[in-house]
Amino acid sequence: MRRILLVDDSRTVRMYGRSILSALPDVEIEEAQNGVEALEKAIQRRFDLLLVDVNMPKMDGYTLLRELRQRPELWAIPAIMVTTEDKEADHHRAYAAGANFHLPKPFDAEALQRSVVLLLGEDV
Amino acid sequence: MITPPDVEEASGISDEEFTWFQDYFGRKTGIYFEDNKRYFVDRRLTARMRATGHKSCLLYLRFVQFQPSQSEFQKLVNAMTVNETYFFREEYQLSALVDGVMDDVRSRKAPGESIRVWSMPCSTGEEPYSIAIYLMEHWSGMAEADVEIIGSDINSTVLDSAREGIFTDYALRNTPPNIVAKYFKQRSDTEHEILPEIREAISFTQVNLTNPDETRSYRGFDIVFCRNLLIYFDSTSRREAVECFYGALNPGGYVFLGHSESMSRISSLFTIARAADALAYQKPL
Amino acid sequence: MGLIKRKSNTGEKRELRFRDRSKEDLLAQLGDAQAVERRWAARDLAEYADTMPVLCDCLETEKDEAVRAAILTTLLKQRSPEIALRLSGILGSEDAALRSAVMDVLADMPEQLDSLVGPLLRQEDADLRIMVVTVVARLAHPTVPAWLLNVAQQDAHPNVVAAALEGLGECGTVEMIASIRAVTTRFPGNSYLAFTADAAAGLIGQRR
Repeated sequence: MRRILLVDDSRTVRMYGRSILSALPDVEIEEAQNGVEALEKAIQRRFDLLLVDVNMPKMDGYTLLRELRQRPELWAIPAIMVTTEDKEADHHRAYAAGANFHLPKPFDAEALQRSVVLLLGEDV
Repeated sequence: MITPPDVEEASGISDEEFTWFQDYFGRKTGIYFEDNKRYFVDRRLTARMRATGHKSCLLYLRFVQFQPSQSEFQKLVNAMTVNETYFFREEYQLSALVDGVMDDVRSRKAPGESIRVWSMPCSTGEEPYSIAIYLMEHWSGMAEADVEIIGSDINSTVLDSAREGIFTDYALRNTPPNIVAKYFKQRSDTEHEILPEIREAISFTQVNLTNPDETRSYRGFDIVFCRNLLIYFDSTSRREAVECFYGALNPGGYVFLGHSESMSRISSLFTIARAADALAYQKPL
Repeated sequence: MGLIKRKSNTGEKRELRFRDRSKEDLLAQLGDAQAVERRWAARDLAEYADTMPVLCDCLETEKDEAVRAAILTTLLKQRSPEIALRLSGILGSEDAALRSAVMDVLADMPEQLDSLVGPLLRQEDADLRIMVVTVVARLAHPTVPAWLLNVAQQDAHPNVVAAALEGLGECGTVEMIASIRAVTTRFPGNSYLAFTADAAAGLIGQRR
């Protein structure tokens, strides 16, 4: 069972992400509304992948990723960053913060599934 | 969902309105009322509807949602939450204290420096006394370290009561009998007095947490317990309280909030620390 | 060893010096090299409403998160339409954490934002409009549903419209459902928008 954490302050985006990802086999999905809540959950439970929005209250996506990468037990979790802007600078910033991959918002269903499958490994 | 017909008639609150309340209140406070709390919720919602002159629950909820001052929301929170205190409440946090937090704090102390714990609000004293007893019973470091516990509250009446240190069976209902026998003297059939050496070792002070002038001298703490208070504050006061704790703590110091509370609705100043089964918030080093 | 009690009863640490500082002292302290000094200055300036411009200037350059939080709390306490205007200008910052912190505070100033919402929603930059819509959706203000519906029906950018629909899911009324569904005709083929409109209508319907 692969556990994915959807981190976005928008309930609709979380619903959308969930509807796309629950089509994948053996996947369990949880949600968090901002970076602080995401960290709380990630510390208490194991996740195999994070899908992280940039613009969130309390703690934005870049900060969340940087926090994750500083923790020995969490630093290796794959993370896809979702950016509203699609400029080069944002791609760089996403990778610099520690994202493994980035997607523009709103995400294309197939692109999201492909990148999740890729990051979780072929046995999904 | 099955609603007893007489409840729905009396309150006029539909299943959908209840669902919306569950969702809205849960998102704003972290407290989710289960379906089986329907009667509890309906009664209190109806009371607030009457108090504000709303016949429709939906209209009342919209009023709560869109009122700029949010004063009705605060009243709703007060109505919905029962804040009782008793010994060893949320014991898993006391457990986390002795299972890593105290040792971590001690590792940063110079020889002779005491570990300082702030219980705010302390109400009638159950919390600071619980902390004291728990540490004495379960923390091996107690033999060598000095621990200072300060209990504070805005209300002087509860502080007077705390200083007296007399408690009922009911306050001790979650406390193992051997602990009661060891740390309390029985004064009557139902009253127990905490041992004088413990009572006298704890300082009780009156403080308004949202007044920076009153809290400014509270510094150099290592652990703060602030359980089930922030939920009653508006957002500005919550920020002030959390920032007060930030200033009051030494680097690496810990904050424990109530079971359903989270910094995720308040601030990102603290890092999140896992301590045994508990989540605590830590001031960055 | 064990439980100890200090002789003084107020929890003070011996080394604390508390000095009475004037507004000018505090403003000077706002530029101190030490973050802890800047933080206290920001906190204690709350009673001086005319220091708002300086505080906002500091906000834009302050890197320490705790100082930033203290400045924002002070601005929130001072709250005024001028502060709301100044803060909404900071939404254009490159610093995501700063934008996020500013949005949190703006969302707590419904009355001060009231007259600004219209003009802010007409800014050219779609990303700014998205942020404003997000703040509006979190405001406790009776005009929020109307503001959001207006954006959903008028804004040219689909992501801005999506943000407005998202907000409507939380606060829209049954009467708005038809208009919400109709929004999808403005952007045919946009499956995310269709999903969002549908979700919003569904959430509103659940509340009846």
